[in-house]
Amino acid sequence: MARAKSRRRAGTWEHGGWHVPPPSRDELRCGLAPLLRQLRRVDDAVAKLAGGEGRVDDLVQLQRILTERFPVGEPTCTTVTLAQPEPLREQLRLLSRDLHLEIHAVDGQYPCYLLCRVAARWDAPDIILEELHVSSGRVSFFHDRRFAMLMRHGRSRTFLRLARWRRASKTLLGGVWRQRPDDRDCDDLLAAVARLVLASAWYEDQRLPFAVADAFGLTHFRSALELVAFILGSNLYQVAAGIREWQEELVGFFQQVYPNVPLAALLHNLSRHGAVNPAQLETAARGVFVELNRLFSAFLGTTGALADLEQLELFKVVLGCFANLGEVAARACWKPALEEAVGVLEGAAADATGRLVG
Amino acid sequence: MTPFGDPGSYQRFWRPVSIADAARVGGSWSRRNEALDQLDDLTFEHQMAAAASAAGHRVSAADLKTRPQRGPLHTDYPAFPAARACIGLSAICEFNAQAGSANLLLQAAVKLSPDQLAVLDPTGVRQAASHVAEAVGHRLCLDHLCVGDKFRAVESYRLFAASMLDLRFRRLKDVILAACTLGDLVDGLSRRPNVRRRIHPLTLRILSALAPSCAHYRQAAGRCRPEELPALAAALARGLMSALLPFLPLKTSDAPDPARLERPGTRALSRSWSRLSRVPLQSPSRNPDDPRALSAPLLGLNEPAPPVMDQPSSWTTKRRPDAAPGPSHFPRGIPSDAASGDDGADQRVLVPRAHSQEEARVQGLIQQAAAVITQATAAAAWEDPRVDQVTHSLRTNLFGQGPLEAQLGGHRHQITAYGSGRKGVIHEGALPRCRDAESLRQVRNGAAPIAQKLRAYQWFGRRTEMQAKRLQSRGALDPHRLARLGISSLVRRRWRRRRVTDYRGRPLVILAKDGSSSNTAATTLAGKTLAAAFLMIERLARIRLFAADYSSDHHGHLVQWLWHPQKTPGRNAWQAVEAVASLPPHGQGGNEDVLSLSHIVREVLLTPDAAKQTVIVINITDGKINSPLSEFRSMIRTLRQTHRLTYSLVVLGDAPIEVPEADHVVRVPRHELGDSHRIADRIAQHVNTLVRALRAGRKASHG
Repeated sequence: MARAKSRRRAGTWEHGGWHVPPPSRDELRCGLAPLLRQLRRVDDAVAKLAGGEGRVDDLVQLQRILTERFPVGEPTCTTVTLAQPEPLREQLRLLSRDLHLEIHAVDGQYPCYLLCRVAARWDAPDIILEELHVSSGRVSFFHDRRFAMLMRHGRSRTFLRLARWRRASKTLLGGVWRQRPDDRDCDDLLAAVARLVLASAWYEDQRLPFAVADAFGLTHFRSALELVAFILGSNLYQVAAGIREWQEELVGFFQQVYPNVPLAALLHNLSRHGAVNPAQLETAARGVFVELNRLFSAFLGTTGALADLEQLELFKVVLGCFANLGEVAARACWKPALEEAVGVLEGAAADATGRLVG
Repeated sequence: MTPFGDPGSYQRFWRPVSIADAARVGGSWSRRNEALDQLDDLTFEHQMAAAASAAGHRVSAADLKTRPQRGPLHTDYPAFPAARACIGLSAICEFNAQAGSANLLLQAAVKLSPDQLAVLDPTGVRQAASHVAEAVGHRLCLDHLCVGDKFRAVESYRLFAASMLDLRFRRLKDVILAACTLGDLVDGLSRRPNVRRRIHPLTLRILSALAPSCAHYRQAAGRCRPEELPALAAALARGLMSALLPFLPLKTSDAPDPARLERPGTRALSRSWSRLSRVPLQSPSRNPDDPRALSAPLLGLNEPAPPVMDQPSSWTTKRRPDAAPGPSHFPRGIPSDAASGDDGADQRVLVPRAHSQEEARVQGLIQQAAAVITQATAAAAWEDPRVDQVTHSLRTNLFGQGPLEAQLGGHRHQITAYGSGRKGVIHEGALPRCRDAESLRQVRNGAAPIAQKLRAYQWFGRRTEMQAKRLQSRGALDPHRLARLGISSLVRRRWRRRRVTDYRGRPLVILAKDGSSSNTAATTLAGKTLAAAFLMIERLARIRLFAADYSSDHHGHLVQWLWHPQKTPGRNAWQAVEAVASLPPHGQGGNEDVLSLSHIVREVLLTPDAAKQTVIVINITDGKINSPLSEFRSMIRTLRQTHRLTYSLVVLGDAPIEVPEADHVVRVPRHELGDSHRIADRIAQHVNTLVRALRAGRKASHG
């Protein structure tokens, strides 16, 4: 008993509450190793079955893996199984409150898992900081590159998905700072990016235009959308004040990690000169927003855009094939009408951002 | 984010509220409620118009046969098109529910002649005919609403359905539906090499065979008048059925030996399946005498497979060809709303009746594995709907009623009852506004005399006050020295806690109305008028009112809020009378009164308004309690002891219920139920008693 007590992390009384520091990287890796091993075994079994190579024996093997007991956290703690997700989640909560395990069923059949580290505070946007395990193959966690809908305490919540830029952020910090950044620094940078910029630059109604921009390579259009949403959705005075701590890192993030040149330029201006006449900027952004909406609507009305689907307007193809838009709208299937529409939209979006940022 | 989704200081909302916000978890309560109200209004308009289009004349709100659909909003589809798809699906469901005669016409059109039936398997023909009639019915509905009535939301749902479509087409039903309703997209996509690779050759042949009839119909439908559409649809159904004939399974005696299709290896199995020329009645089967049972191959998720007549291929490809089809062969798996198909059978656990010892062993293994996997991926009943489950469920039942129907702010909660500790799940929602003017007038007129009487009463709160009590000394201690108690630790000050009337306090009144099936039309109407009266006087009487109806539906126990500041969308207490009018004219279902009441009271006590305020529970019931009376009494006892609230039981009717634990019992005899003035007298007398009890304590000065 005494031994178990000595292992427990010491807490401190801060800001009127008992604060237990999150476990270190090593502690986390050690505590999660059996779970990660088990998840990989499930993945292998599912990949074999889903790929058509499986037999009844493999299904039985999958069942065996799911019902095997393994420890999570301290070696002395209670063992759990993947077949009973609630006790497993309870153990993960004991290990760290930031851990989240999301379980889905591929086509209602095979289990797939997302184990991640999240930041979910009341005064900041919900973000995924690190993806510790994502099942291979077809998974339904990330319906969008920017958002993930996770079930937190039984309620669906939208998380900003920043984990994919973790490595690039670390490289960026290493370049800007003199000392070597650790994982906490990386978490802090991602949290700052989310709180100051992306919480307002991304919103869920952008999923359709972002999906179209990704599928048709509309980089200027995507940048313009983010820029407009950032100007209209954030308090520029607060951002200008908050950006001082992360001046170079934030600008560098939007130049190198997630390239959005106009947004990086605006952040640079905010950090150097503060928020100068934001009301005028907002008015201009509203005008650009209306213009972008009109252009996007005209783009989606293009007919004869894709091979084999010439008779359909583009919006029908986009909405009717939204689940596999990237595949349907592959570059090889583009028709001249689409090339022209892309050029018009991109040119207009570049002009609009130029008007906003100068 | 905060529990209510307020974005705090890092984000501000600059976009107007739209129907896309209706299921947005990141938005605030008020935005979501307003969006839900907008969506509800639009859905209602479309449903009414669809019902009128199907019936051929105007219909009233009471004639609607389906509930608004909300499934697409809980998938990974973009929010605005998904909200429009909800509206479209609601209209389609309503149209199909009303169009009984059109469906009969289609069913007559797909009947085959006896000489055609002579060589074909009757079960296969019956199922194919049913699929054709269903698909053409959907096409007819689309043309009526989208082309005739210009409902663009229906087109939104069609595109949503195309996006949900599984292009591997595991069922013949999906092939027919895709060719008939989504032909413009599917024809083009199936020409793409990367898509063709996923589709089985037999499926491609069927699609090609169905395409001419569908194309002919599309051309003709674009030119014809709406009244000519049913005849065109019947012709389409006949054309589709004729095109399907070469692919339908032959009679069992004419069918090829199933053992020829069986090879131990997966590749060999795939090869033999690729040579199929007719739709099999079921998934590929294994030879039951094969001793290598555990080495039987399973079909992969991404492998092309021929469409089967009855069930999609899955792990369990072990069905014997001579087994008669029917859901009775498929034991249900672990209950899961999203996993169940349209016929009620669980789509995951497809285990046929065993025919040999070896077969039974294999089926047992598969069943065990399926149960464990289902358990490992299941979600608790009270949790929000999960994206993958909703998507899978909608995908298996396109153009049909989905798993999620309109429940404003609907959630499931695990409840532990006060007193008895009984556990259960409560489905909670908010009642929508009533759009039937007649029902609304009836409730308002009935409530007017009661509200007239009640509005005269001023309710006051009670609060706890700490008073310093004078020390009465005797003996050696000199009373004059008591003035030094402020500085002397030897003489202790005495404090006394007193409950006093608080003129600024607004007591919380929880109105819990029983809506179970034991309620007759008279008791239901009396309950509705009482609830409406309290809602109408809420502002005047200076009370904070929370009103809910508890009953049950197909989800289980149901609590529907009539008025709750954080749960009912975009309305105040006065407008909540419209929600009261939307309650059904009779009680519905049974319910656990103890669980429902515990949930209602707990939800109110959790609100910040309840802090340090007087709480009065008014339970309006017909006196027929569905929970054991001992548990009901135990709950009231616990509530009174723990939370010091006042409990009044209003019994409508002559049920002889005795609850000594209740503070007040008001009985309205059955013969007085129809007379609002008599009810008003009794309730006013009761309220008078309540208010006098509140003022009975020592009066405190203002503040």
